[in-house]
Amino acid sequence: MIRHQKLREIFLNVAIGILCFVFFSTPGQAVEPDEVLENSSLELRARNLSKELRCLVCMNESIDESNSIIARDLRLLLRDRLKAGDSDEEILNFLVGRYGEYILLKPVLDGKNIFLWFVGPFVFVICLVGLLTSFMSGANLDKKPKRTIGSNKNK
Amino acid sequence: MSSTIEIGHFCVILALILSISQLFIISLGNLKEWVEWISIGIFITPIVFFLVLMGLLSILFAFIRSDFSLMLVAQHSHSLKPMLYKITGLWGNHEGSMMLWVFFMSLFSLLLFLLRHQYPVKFFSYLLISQSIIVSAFLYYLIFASNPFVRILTPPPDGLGLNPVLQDPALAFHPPMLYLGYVGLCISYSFAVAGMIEGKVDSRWASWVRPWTLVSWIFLTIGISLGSWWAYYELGWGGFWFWDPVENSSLMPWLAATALLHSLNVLLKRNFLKSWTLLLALFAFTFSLIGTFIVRSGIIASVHAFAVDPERGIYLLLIILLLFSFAFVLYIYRFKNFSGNSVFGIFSRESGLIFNNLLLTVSALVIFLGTIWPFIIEVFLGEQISVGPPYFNLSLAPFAFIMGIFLPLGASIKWRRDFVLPSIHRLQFAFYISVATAAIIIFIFKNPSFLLFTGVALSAWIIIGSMTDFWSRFKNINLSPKMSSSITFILTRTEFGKNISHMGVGLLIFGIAAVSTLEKEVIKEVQVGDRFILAGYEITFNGVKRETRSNYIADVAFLSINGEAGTFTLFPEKRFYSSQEAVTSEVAIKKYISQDVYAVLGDFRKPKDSSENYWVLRIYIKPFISFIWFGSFFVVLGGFISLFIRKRNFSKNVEI
Repeated sequence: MIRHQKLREIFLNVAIGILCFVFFSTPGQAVEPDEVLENSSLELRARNLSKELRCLVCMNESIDESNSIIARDLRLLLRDRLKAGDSDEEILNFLVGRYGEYILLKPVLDGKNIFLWFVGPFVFVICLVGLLTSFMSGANLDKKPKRTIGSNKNK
Repeated sequence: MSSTIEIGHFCVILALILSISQLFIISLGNLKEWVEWISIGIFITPIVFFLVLMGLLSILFAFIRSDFSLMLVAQHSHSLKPMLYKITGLWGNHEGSMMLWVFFMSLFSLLLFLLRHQYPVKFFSYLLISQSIIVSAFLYYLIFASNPFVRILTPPPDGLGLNPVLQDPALAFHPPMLYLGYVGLCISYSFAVAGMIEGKVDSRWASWVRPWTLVSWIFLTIGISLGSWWAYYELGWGGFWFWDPVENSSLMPWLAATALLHSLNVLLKRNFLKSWTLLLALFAFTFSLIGTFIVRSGIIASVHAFAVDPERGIYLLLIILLLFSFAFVLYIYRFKNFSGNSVFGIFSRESGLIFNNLLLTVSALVIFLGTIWPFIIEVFLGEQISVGPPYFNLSLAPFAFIMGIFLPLGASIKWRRDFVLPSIHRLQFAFYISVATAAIIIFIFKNPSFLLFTGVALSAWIIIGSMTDFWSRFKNINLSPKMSSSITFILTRTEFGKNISHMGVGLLIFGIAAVSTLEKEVIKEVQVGDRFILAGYEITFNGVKRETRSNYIADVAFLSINGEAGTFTLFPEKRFYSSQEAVTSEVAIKKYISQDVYAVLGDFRKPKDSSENYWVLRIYIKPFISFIWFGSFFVVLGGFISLFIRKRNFSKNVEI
């Protein structure tokens, strides 16, 4: 029984491996020539937008890089909306409405993600202020006679 | 013949038993002050190493002989693989790489053992206590949660692993480099633990830890750069960094180790910042364990993938908790011993290094948060979100920017106290050059993007700043006749390693800024004889030739490209591996110092309504991308230089 399970595990692994291979490893298949819009400013907007959208079936790829079918469909959809005159924001909202926030590689700044976006800067500022205040209170040490430095060194 | 595997298995189990008994023997020896016990315990380290080596070799031989009765070989190797990739196949999978990981751990223990005369016996025995805890934990994990010695009763005729994309030298050698880096940080951790047990952490301690940290930092840097290089030429769209969880989990320990190296300098020279340095040493290793956990448990790919096979992940999580809480309890217990204060002005090297530490650790925190955030949201809110490159680029850019501005200043000012104006005066040349480059950028590109503008100006500021620092130190050396000839003396006094590494950082920033803003690409359907122009290159498509090679069929495109620097040809390929039904692309790259011309052959198209056929062709111009690799090379080189010039006169010699 255990052998059997192990074998199944092997086959599962191989299947996943092949899938991964097909999806992620066939290189250079991202944006196809027939997708490219003639209007170069629209195309530029399309490229920039597609770098912020996740290929839904891939591990960690944007639709700009991915060669999966869904990524291609999304790229075409995106370009259709652009041609129809939608703004970037409208397109993103439309896609989020359809596929959920999962599609955004750049998480929206809302209640739940506030922590994600601000912890870094917050910790940085707090530590900086903390360091500076501790410095201000201890800075007068500097004016003490040189002896302090000497005794410190001998420790 | 295949009994070697069983012998290897047995050796590894024995190694676990010995390693645990070493922990008890040395601990007991220390408690009861039985000196003999300690000296016996110390000699268990080489035995454990030898046993783990036997385990590794037995698996390695199975890979070399293609012994498919070993499950690992059956799953991950193939009789047709070239020998090099049969060998590297050992660490191309979970169990094998954990075996290598444990081997490196015992290797580092062995190195520690061989260098034991440098440390006091008591301190050394504390080191081994910590090492034996780590080694035992991972041997336990290896044997009970990811055993590489599992056999198959009826061996398959051939193996399953012949993934052609993974057969690449850079990919084959970057995991061992990364592992050496990850694992090497366990030595810094053990030094921290030993220092805490002893209750004494000072400049002498720092001078012991520094070379070990430097070694693992060098390996980490090489590993990360090799990985990035591999992605660049193998994955086929010329990206070099993807903010993938796997990459992030190598970057976090790297940032922590970099911070540690800098804070160790403060401890070395000025004998303070003790508790912070200890914490960093603990965090650096914890980050490298968390990185392993993230990669190995599959937790980031999907929470569900984790739930399917939680065994590996939970064991690892327990090990992380065990090691971290052990050290942390020790830290809290001993905290008072390490609250040394020192006297220094706000404008001093000390402040610069503390600021550097703050920036590096906050960056590591941001990456950590971004990497685990999807997981947290899914567990607590049940929602699925993604955190990708746009987040990391945006949230790390400010810190990188601040770091770039302060780097030359912080690295060149004096210890204890310096004066603002003379220091800026010293760097005026770098400042002018950087302003001039910024002006040139504006002149050339009229309306350059912020990234390009600041990136180039900052890199000039850092590179010239490092050179000026070197030069002004070099000028000030009084070559007294006694020591004048010593190159080591000059290299130490000019802080040569530091300046080389910092120059590398400048080159790296330049490369990244240039390639991510000035890249040009064309995606085209072409027919034989088509000719087009991209960024001053006239590119002619001369058709595709089909060739049959050893185990694949290749479509080779012939491109002749005419640029200012002359004419050259590129042969990008598409390969079909019939045995795997796999298609891969081999990019063709023409490298100049100022740019790479990067060609990829895409699909073959034959529209129904016409008799003509097309090939899809992608050409990218990557300006200054080679500076990314030059930069990494200089960063590593600086590390090597610092490693080989040991700062011997650490305590008395406070630099002017």
